[in-house]
Amino acid sequence: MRSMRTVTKVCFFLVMLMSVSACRQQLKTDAYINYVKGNDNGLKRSIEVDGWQYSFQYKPYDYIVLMESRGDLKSFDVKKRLAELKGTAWFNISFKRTDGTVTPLKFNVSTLDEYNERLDYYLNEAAKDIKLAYGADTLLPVSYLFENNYNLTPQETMIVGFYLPKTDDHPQRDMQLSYNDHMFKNGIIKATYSKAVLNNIPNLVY
Amino acid sequence: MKTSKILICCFLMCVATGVIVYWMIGGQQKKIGVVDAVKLFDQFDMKKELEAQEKLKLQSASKQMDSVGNLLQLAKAAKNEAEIKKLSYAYDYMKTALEQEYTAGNRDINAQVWKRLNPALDEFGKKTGMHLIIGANGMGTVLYNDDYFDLTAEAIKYINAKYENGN
Repeated sequence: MRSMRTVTKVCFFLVMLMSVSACRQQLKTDAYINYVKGNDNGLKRSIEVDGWQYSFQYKPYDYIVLMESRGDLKSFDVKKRLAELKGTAWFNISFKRTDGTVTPLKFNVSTLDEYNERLDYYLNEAAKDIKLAYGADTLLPVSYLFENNYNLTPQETMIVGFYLPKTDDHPQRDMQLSYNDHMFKNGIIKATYSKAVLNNIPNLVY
Repeated sequence: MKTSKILICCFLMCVATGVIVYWMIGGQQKKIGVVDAVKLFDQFDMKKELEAQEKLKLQSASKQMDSVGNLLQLAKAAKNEAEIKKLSYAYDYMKTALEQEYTAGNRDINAQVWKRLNPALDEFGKKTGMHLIIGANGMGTVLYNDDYFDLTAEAIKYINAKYENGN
């Protein structure tokens, strides 16, 4: 009888321990944004190649909602947007010169034709050079947008989205985003997001 | 009692001297390693992936060229001079274009791979505390080295992990 009680106590302790460790951190909006954008949390990866800096930012659904609502969550249909995002994975791929002196579209460009050719590549072609290894699957972008900032900032950004396999309603397996930079010929740039990093993303307190 | 204390003191002093000598010699040692540059280049994952992509592109162009070659053979068999002239021109043109593309592709891959390998090797050297890494490539830089100084496997592992993880 006594041993039975001990076993029950141990089981209870283990269950409690597991539930505590499984609990995700709860963060308010600003702290959540800082977490997602933080360099140490594994959601933003920066890679430097030959004077270029590439940043791969994974965007959890809550982060997308926060950005789209611009902080005004009360007048934003959060549930609807979260339902729309279900089964997808979204990333920002940004790139700039490490010294930040010139916008990538104008870097070493001498004619308007060259500039237009570069712009055309980012508007229409670059999506072909992006893919996501998700678990054992290789996914191609279903949505792509080049944020044309008209050379107002020295950084350019591509927004890319993927449909996940039907079994997953949110990213939960190891992922590797890769971009083969044909324009500046810097080779293939990769960023890996482990399952552990994805499972460790805090919950947003709405 | 006194003797045992003296013995312990002597023992401790010996150990301390040993540690200091070891530390001083270790500090002065220049760490040198050898990396087989060809092996490193060939086993870099990005190089393999870029080559596979390039191969696909060239295969498609090569198939088109073969089709024109087959038509040329048929025209030759039929002794159709006008067709032979036209197809010979097209075939030569495609062959030259393919060769040029192959050369340019190889050049691009080499440049892109070295762009990534050089800084990664720098980082590898710093992280492993090396003072000098010599590139062995079987062409005279290092004529012989045994496993003692060989860091090729470690360098390949480090560089591929860096490439795959993106940091």
